Amino acid sequence: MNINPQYHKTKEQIYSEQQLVEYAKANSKDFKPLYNQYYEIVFRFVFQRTGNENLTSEVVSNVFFKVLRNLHKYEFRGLPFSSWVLRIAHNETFKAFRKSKDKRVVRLETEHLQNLISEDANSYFEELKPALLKALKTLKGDDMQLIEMRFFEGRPFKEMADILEKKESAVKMKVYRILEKLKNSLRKN
Amino acid sequence: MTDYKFDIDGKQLSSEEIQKRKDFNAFHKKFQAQSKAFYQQNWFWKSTGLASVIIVSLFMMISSGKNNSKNPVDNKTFEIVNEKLFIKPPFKNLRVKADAFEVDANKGGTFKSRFGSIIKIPAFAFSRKNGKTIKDQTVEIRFTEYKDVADQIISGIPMTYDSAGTKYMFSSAGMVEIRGFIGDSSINLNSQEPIQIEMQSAYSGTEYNFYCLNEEEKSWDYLGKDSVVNHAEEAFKKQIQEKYPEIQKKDIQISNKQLEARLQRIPEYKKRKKRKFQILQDLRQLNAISLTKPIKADKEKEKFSLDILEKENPELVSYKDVQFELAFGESINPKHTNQNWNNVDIKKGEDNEVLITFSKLNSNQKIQYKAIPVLDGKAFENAHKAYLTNVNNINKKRNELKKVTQQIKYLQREIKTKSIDKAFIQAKLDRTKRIAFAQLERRNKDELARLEQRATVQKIQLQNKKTQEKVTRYFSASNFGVFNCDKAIATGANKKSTITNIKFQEEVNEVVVIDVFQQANGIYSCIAMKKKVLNQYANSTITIGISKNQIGILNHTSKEELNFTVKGVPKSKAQLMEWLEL
Repeated sequence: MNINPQYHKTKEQIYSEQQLVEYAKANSKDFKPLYNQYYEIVFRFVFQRTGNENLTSEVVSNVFFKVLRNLHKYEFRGLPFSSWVLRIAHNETFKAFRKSKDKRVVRLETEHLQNLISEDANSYFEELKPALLKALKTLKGDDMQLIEMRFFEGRPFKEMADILEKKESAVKMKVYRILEKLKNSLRKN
Repeated sequence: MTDYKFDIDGKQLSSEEIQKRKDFNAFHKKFQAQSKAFYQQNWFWKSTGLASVIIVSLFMMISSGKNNSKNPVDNKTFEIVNEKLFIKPPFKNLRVKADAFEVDANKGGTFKSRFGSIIKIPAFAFSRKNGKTIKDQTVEIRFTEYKDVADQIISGIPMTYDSAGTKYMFSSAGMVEIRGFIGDSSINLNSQEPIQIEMQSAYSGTEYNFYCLNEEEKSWDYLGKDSVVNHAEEAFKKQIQEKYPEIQKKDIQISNKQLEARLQRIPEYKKRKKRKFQILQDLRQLNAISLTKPIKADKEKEKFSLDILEKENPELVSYKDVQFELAFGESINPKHTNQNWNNVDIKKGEDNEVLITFSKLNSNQKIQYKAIPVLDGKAFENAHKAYLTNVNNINKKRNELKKVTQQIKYLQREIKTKSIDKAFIQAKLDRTKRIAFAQLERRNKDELARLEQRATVQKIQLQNKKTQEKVTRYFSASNFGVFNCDKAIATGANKKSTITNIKFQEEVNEVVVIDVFQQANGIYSCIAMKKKVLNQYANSTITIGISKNQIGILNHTSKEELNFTVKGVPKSKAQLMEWLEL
């Protein structure tokens, strides 16, 4: 499974980003570089979970509104600013679901599903696909969130842990357990 | 159980589609409006908000008062040039020279500008206006570097920065413009494949920010910080490393003479050396005795003995009790046995053998026998005992010698290790001292150079600075356009005056006025109009005017009247610099 390199941030990038945050704290107009930098990232994050462009636009606007309003509360702890922004995006997205009572959307590509099963099973993937989707449907919201971040979005464990405010080891363990659960469910089917 | 809706291989949004929805200004306006509405909900919060604004303003005023490098420039009194003359080169036939590179859109490549800046273009980095990635085409990249104030004047690019409604002048550490074309049509960059630029700059320091010219909004967008590599610093580090390389313990050499001198200061070592000398002497004596192992006579073998007269043959006394066993293949000739042989000569032969020659006086007759000297009975026992005693003594001495030699070697090793450690620490200390001295010398040199610079005219100052500082500024560009490494700076105290008359050879109603700040490598432009208030900056190197393509130098004769000495239309950058005395 390939990890998306755009989610990896060097220490230098993290510190340079923090500088931008400090500028934005001092003057809301200087929030522009952060807004420009994160707009697409947040948009894709929300769109992944809503599948609706207009709803996504609305949620993204709320996300940045919250980010800017709460920027003074943001404390730099050596983590990328993106983790904080995406945590807000995560909360706002689910808030929107609760409000609209829409179904939670999981956007994925066939390739992502193939990532979930072993390589030798790929040859009869088409036969496995319905069972795999059925197994995925049994996952709880939090579990689906982890599978989605890891396998459908290709996020590193570290970033997942930062967004969800959990320990990296705990996230890893949880993901492996969910995979086991999926495998068992597939065997039964 | 959560009810999920799976969207497999559904619509993929392109970056362009997402970017279209991005509108910071609208977002910011909404944010400000909503924040305001919140405060207006009741009088208490309203007044609290107001008080906060006052406190923040006061704080900002105090802060700005403390920070001399960021004094806002009063922009109320004149029109900012970029509002009217946005990227409008003032001279029709004069442009800053651009480098042009042909790039295979599928491959990208690395290119070097005339100033040594590096442009790294990834594969499939270009897109058409509709967002479609350009493939199988050759793209022309035009790369322009604006190095100094003359370039800034020629470019017509506004060098002012608006931050929260306050305008600052840019002090530039380097500005580049990068554009892409297929034929005459301009193209875009794929935001997913940014271009990496390593710009050569004559200005070090990390206080510069990184901006991109927003050509739609006609303003500079703050993008953050670039990263800087100081070549002088790197070169100094390299020089230091070459001159004073890192010291390894293995490189430390102690000569035998030095080591021996150190060892001689240790009594234990001297004692053992003396002992070794004594043992060697003893061994020499023992070896001189050189007893051969006695051989016991074999009763079965044929043998003879010598009748030795001690007085006549003292050299043969040692063979007195010795019997001579005939060597293999030898036998006694019976004819020789009943004769009287006056002389006997014994010579050592192979292995244990001796060659015995018998001869007679007054006769040439000689006979020879090969034999092995052997002993029998008491004589053998005594000889064997003496031999064993000697061998024991020798072995004992040899063991003693081995022990004392080991002790000496151990002491030598120990002292050598200690000496190397000491020399290693000393060498490291010396290196640190030398480096510290070199750094101090460099700092002093720099300080001296700075003091000298202050004392010289501005032109020389700038030239010195350019030769002394050479850094590379690294940044990436997601769009084509103009990128600038700058810091917002104060333009110094200004004199406001209402312009009554503008003379530019003849009377004119308006003129573009440019304050040139050579040291800061920046310009500040405005349009001066009759009956309008103009700010004239005290710290500017020179103030020029541009009207109808021509350049004029402002004569500071009257505050109310702008009187320019017109130089003409510059034909080259060199001519412009000459006129401006840059």
